[in-house]
Amino acid sequence: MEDTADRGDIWQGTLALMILKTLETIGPLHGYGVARRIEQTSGQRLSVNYGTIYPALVKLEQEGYVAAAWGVSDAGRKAKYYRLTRAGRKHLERAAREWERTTGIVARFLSLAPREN
Amino acid sequence: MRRLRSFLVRLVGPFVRRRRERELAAELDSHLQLHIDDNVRAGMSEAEARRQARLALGGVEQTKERVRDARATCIDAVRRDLAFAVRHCSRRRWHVATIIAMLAVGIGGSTAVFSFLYQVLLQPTGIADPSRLVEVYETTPPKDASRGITRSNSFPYEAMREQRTQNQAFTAIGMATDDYLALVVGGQEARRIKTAFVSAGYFDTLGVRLRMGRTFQPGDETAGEPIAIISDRLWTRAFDRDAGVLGRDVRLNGRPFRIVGVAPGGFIGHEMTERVDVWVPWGSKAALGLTPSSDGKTLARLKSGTTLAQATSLAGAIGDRYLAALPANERDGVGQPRVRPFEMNRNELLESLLPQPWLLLTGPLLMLLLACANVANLQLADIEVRQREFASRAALGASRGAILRQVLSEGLVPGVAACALGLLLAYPCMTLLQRVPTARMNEPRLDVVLQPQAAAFAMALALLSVLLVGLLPAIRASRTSLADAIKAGSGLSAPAGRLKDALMVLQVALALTLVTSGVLVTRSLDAARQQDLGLRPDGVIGMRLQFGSGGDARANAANVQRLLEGGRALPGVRLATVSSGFPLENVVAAIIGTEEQPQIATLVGAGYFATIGVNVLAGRELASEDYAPGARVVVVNQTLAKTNWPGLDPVGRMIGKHRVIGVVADHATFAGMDMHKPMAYIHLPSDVGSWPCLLVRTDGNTGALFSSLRQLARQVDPTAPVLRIATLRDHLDGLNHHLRVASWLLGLCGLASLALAAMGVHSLLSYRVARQRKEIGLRMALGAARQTVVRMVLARVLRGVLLGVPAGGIRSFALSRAFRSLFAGAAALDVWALTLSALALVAVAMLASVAPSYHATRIDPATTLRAD
Repeated sequence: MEDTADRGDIWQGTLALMILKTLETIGPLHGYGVARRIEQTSGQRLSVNYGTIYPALVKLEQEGYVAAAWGVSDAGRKAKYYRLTRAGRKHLERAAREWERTTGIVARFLSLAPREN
Repeated sequence: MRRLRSFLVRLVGPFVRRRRERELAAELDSHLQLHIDDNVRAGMSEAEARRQARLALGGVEQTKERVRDARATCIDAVRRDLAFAVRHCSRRRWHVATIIAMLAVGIGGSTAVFSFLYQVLLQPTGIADPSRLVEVYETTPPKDASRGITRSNSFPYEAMREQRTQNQAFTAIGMATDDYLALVVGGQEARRIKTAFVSAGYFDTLGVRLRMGRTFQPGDETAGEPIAIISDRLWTRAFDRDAGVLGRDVRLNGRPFRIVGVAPGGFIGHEMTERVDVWVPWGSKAALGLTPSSDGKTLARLKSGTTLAQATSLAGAIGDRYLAALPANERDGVGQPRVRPFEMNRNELLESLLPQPWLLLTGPLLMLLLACANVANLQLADIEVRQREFASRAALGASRGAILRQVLSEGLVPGVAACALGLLLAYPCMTLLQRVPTARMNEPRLDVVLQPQAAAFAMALALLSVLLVGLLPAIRASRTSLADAIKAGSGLSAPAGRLKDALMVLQVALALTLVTSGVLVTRSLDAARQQDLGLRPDGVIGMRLQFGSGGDARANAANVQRLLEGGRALPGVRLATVSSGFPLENVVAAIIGTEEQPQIATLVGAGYFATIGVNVLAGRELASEDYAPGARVVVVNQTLAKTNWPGLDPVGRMIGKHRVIGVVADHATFAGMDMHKPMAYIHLPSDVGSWPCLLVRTDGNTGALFSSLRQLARQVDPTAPVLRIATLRDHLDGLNHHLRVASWLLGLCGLASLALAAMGVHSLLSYRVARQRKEIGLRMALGAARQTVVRMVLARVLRGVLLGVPAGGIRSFALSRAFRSLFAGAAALDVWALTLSALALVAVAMLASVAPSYHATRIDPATTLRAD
C-alpha cells in the first residue's frame, strides 16, 4: 500500500506528459487504451494500477488540455474517448521542451566520471 | 489562467455531481470491459480475465475516490462532509439533541447577560472624545479659619457665563440640571420623564451631534421661549421616527414646548445613571412653575494642546476678576473656580440598574461551561467508539485531512443548530433582564438589545468546544491502521480516559454549584415572601400619580381630594385612602416629639390602616377631621405604646405636642426595617406632596378596577402621569424582585444542569457499555455475576460523582457567602441544603445509569463473542 503510493507520487509529475504525448501520437483514445499504451511504450517497466490514469485525466480535462466524448471502440464497446485540444498541444510542446532540457542537464551531471585520486 | 479555469470548472462540480458519478461508473465499467475483452483474446477464461482486469485497475472504489479527490474543490468536500454529518446526526437523535439543548441554553442565557452588560458598560454614549472633557466646580474659602474649604459639585450660572466669554482654554462650556416632568405627546397617555435644563454650549461641549435640528443658543437661555430637544428614544416611541417632527409640540407639565432638535441614538445625557428624554433651555424652569436654579453641573471641553493646569489658572484668573468687580458686601461666599477631569462613571449606571450583575452572569456562564464540558465528553466518547470506523475510512483511501474534516463537520452541525436555538432563547432572557430594574417604575430605564458581539462571543466559545475537542482523538484515529483498530476492540487509551474523567468531575462540580445556588435563592425568596408584614394585602390596589404641574399646593390638594372622592365612588371599592407612596416604599416621614426624645412618624391619610388591613387595637385611627390647623394627633404602634407606657393605657398620652388617639398592630412600614420598632403615624398634609398614592380596598375583584382607576386619573388631571398601578400583593412581591429574578434564573439553570448531568451520565455510560461489550461478554462467559457487571459499569460514574461533589460543595459555600452580602435576609447555605443538593445529584446520576447498566446485564456472551 505505502509502496504504491510512493511510486504514484513519482508517476504524477510525468504521467500527465505521457498521457498528452500518447494522445498526440495515437489520436483520440479511451482511458484503458492510454494506460495500456503507456505500459507498452515503457517496455513493461512501468507497471502501476491502471486506475491512476483517471484522476490525471480528470485534472487534464479541468485544465482544458484534453476533451472527452463518448464513442464506440473497434470491438463495438462503448467507451469515453479523450482527445488533445489545441491548448493541450501547445502545453505538450512546452512541457516536452522543458523536460528535455531538464533531463539533458541531469544526464550530463550523471555522466560525469568520478575523479581519480 | 489555467488555474482559474480549472477552479471554475470545479466550482460548478457540485451541481452536476450525480451525472458525473454515473459517468465515472460507466467509464470504469467500460475500462474493465475493454481489458476483459483483451484478456479473453489472450486466452484467459472469462473469470480469470475479470479478476486480472480488476487487479490491474487497482480497485473500482479506490479509483472512484481518487477521481473524486482530483475533481473536488474545498467547497465540494465541505458540502459532502456536511451532508454526511447531517445524516450521521439524524441517526443519533438523542445524542445530538442533548448537545444542542445544552449549548443553546448556555448560549441564550449568556448572550442576554453579555448584551446587557455590554450595553451598560461599553456602548457608545454619543459623547465625543471624553478625555478632553473637564468639570468646572468651585471651592468656597472658609468663613472662619477653623473650618475647611467647602467644595461644591456645581458651579454658578453667572460664573459660567464669565468663563464662557473669557476662558481661552475651553472650546466650549455648558451646564445642566435635571428634574422629572410629566410629558404628554398628542393624545397619548402622560408619562414621567427625566428632563435636563441645559445652557447653550452643552451639546457642543459634549461633542454630541444632533440627528436633526439645532442646539440651544445663548439667547435661548433667558428668552423663555418654550423649545425642546428630544431623545432618539422619545422620537421613536412617541413620533414613530417622523422626519417632520421639528416644529411639533410636546407638553411638559401641561405647557407646550416646540421641538427644535432630535438627539442621536445612544446619547442619554452626561450622567448616564438614568436616561434623559428631553432637553430644554437653562432658563425654562420658571415657565414650568419650578424654582429656577442658580447653579448646575458644569462641563467644558479643553482646547487641544491645553493642559488641565493652564485651564485651572485661566479659570482662577477670571474668577478673581469677577470677584474684584463685585461690591465688597457681595463677595462673601463667592467661590473660586477649579477644574478637574470629568469621569464618566458607567459602573454607577450598572449598579443603579442591577446591583448583582455578576450574580446573574454566574448562572448562564456556568451553564455554558457545563454544556461545553458535557459536549466535549460526549464527542470524546463518540469518537473513541468510532475508532474502527475512522480506521476503515483511512484504509479505504480517505486522507487524514478528510477524516479531520468529517469530525469537525460532525461537531459543526449540532453547533450551528445550537447557535440558532440559543439566539432564539436569548430574547426571552433579555426581556427578563430588562424588567429587573423596572420593578418599581412603569418604563424600562434601558432597552436591552441583542448585541452581536455578545452573541458572537458565546457562540464562538460553544463552537470551539465542540470542534476542538474532537480533533485529538480524530488525529489519532486517522493514524491507526485498520488491523490495529479491529484487534484493539476495546480498551480505552489512557490520556483520553483521564480527560474524560476530569470532564466528568468538572460537570458534577458545576452542576452541584448551580443546583445549590438555585436552592439557596429559592429558599431566600420563599423566606422573604413568607415574612409576616402585619397587613392584609389581598384585594388592595394602589395607584401613584405625579401631580404638581406648577407646584401649586392648593391645586394639588384639590386634585388629591377629587382623586380620593372619585376612588371611593368607584363600584367595587369598599375603602379608599391617600398616602405619600406605596406601603413600604416611597413613604414620607417626619420627626415629632421633643429634641431629647425624637420620634419618627410616617405620614398617612385618613382610613389608611383599615384600607391596608392593619388592626386598630385601641382608640381609633386617623380621620379626615384630624388634618386641621392645630389638630395634633398621632397613632402609635404596639411596640411604641409598650415601650413608652408599659402597662398603661396609651390613648390620650402625649408625644411632644401630639396627642395619642389610637394604637395599631405592629406592621411593616419601611422596606427592610424591622416592623417591631417603635413607630408613630400622623396625618398627611392635604396636598400630599406632589406624588400621591391612592389606595383602594376592593371587594375582591381587583382586575376590573385597573382601567376605571386609570380613567379616574385622566379625569382628575390629564397631564399627570400614572407612575405605577399595581395590586398591593404584586407590589410587595416586587420588593423581592431581584430575588425573584435570581431565583428564576438560577433555579432554571439548576434544573437544567441536573438534566444535563443526567443526560451526560446516560450517554457516557451507554458508550462505555457499547465499547466494552466484548469485555463484559467475556467476563460473563467466565462466570461473572450480573452484580459484578453492574458494579463495573457504575464504578466510574460513582468515582466522578464522588470527586465532583466536594469540589462543587466548596464553590457553593463561597457563592453563598457572597450571596448573603448582597441580599439582606438571604438564607445561609447549610450543610443540610448542600447534602440535599448533592443527594439529588447522585440520585439523578444513578437514575441515569439504570438503563445503560440494564443493557450491560442483558449482554449475551454467546452473541458478543461470536460477533466480529
